Amino acid sequence: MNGEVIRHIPRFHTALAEWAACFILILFLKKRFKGWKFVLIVILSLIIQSLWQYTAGKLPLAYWIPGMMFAVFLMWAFIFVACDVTALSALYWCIHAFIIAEFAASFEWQITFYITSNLALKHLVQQLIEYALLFVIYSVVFVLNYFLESRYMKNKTILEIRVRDLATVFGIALSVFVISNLSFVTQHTPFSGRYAVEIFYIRTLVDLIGLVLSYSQREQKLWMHAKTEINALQNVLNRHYEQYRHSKETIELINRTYHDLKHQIAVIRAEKNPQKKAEYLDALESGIKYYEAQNKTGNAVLDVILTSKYMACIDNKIHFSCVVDGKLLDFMDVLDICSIFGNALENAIEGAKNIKDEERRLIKLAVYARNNLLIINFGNYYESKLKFENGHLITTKKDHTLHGYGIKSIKMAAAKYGGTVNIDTKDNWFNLSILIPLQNSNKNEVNKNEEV
Amino acid sequence: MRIKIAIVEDDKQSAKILASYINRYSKENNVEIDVMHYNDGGQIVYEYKPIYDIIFLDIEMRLLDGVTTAKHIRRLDKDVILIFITNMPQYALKGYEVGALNYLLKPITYFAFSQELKRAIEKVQSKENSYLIFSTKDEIIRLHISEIAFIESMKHKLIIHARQKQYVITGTMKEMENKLERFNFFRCNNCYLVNLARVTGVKDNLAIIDDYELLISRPRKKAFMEALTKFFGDMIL
Repeated sequence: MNGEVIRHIPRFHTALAEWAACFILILFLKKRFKGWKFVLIVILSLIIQSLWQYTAGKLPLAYWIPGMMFAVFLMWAFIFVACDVTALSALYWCIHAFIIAEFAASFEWQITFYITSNLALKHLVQQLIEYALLFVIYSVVFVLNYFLESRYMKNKTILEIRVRDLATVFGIALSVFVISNLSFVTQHTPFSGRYAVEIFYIRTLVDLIGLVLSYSQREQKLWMHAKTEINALQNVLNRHYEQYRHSKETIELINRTYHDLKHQIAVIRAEKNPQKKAEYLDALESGIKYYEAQNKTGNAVLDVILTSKYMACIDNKIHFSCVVDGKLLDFMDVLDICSIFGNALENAIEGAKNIKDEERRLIKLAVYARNNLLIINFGNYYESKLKFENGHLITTKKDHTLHGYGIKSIKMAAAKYGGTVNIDTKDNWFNLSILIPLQNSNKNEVNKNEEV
Repeated sequence: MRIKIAIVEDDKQSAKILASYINRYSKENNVEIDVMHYNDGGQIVYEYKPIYDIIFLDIEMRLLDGVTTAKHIRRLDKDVILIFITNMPQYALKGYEVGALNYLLKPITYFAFSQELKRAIEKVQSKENSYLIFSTKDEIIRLHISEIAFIESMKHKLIIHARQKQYVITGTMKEMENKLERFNFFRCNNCYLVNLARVTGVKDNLAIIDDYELLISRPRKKAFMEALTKFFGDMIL
């Protein structure tokens, strides 16, 4: 190596980088333990990682790759134990952490080597400078990294890791690892450096590329996710709006039929044959059954939605009770009313219609105001098992293209008016409630309290 | 405690079924229930006394219909739980005017009835044992939770804002928070512990209770709104 001695990265530096990279990612993931147990895991992990790197340093060169793999395994174990994630997700985060750690360690050592190798220093002073540099550089690198991560981790839904993501990040990590370490194995390739500084520089550069690639892959994922979400929400909205327009036509038809009733009654009166008379009456009765579904709440849009859902309830033998002050919804956009009531009632019908005992198919709706608070409350009896994922309810619907977007769409519509949505389950009742503060208060409230 | 229920129904058959359902519920759930029966709205409204916990009201009655009866009752009794019974759901749609947010459709099934009754009884019972007991400088006070609007902390003192007056006691907010944990109170900022049931509005970062406007601290706004939504959600559940 042209007389120059390459000092490898001290094992502790590597261990610290690996541990720190994992730790930063863990901060954003859902923890398995809280309080002292979590702290204990974090501390233990640093000790184990350091001990292992120290041991691996003593092993013959042939064990370098297995040693490396075991270090990665320890990182995986740290993430898997500390966080409530699947083994697969833990692997994804661990590989990602590995790429970060490789870069951090390489970068730090390159700088340290450059500064200290040009100075003739006593061993102790050199050590001190090295630790100081270690501290400063790692702090900068990992703090920067933390902020970068927070950009991606903000969106919790993105945490869903697929095998494809794992494969991509694994490919990146593997190629970066091989190319960046080639010079340490042999100088006789077109990709190897020949001087220490040069070799370190190549390694840092390649690691940096790995880091950039890995982030750009996530950027892409974020973008794709946002796009599909917008599409899905748009679909849900369009569907309910379509239904609303369709129902409007149906209801107009019913109204016309109602006016024809008089003529039909006249026909029945004239009929002499009792059996035929009964048949006519039956037909008439089933014809007007839907008319009962007509609701007059004071809000025309809501009336249409309620009527169409009421018909669905009659068809599914669901008892639907609703107490609604429709005038309260006048400030709301047609599309938002469609979205909130269309989605929530569809979910409720879905939940109630499969109950075996028809008596238990119950749905309730209440829309009322308490002074300046608008309360919209949907409840339905259910017997199926509800599934929760990361604390969020996931759909039991078969149609997965609409996976969970119903509730998301309700939340978005409510949020437009400063509303909050709450979902609760108690005694086999599924309850979705929305609270929207009304702003049209004309009372002159006296502010009796100084702000503290 | 015994639950007092009134049935106001002019159809004898229907009244009989309701009474048998109440009887069955009482046996199945070990609740003691007294039942009074009225044949018409006019009967219960005449010299009405607020002694009932729950009133089942048929809407379609010949003399005084259920909705009008309910309005009369509501004027005299703010707490009684009203449950409409009807043939025509359209008539019950306006139940919100008298705080009847649910109704039972004829023919009534035992399941729907028992669900409704269970919820109503739970509400009655939770009201029954909701008292805050504390001592001021010179006396011991027993205050119903619904009387309390909010509790304010001010320099090692707590001020209990009740409907009529304010009580100053010594104690910490933490203690009070623990005491009131099961009664739906929420700390909307460091100084105020708010009775969610008494909140009548939210304006920007202010929680409104009667004439008071209480500041909701920014980091607690979201949790406050969620707690309030959950509270009102539980009301009909």
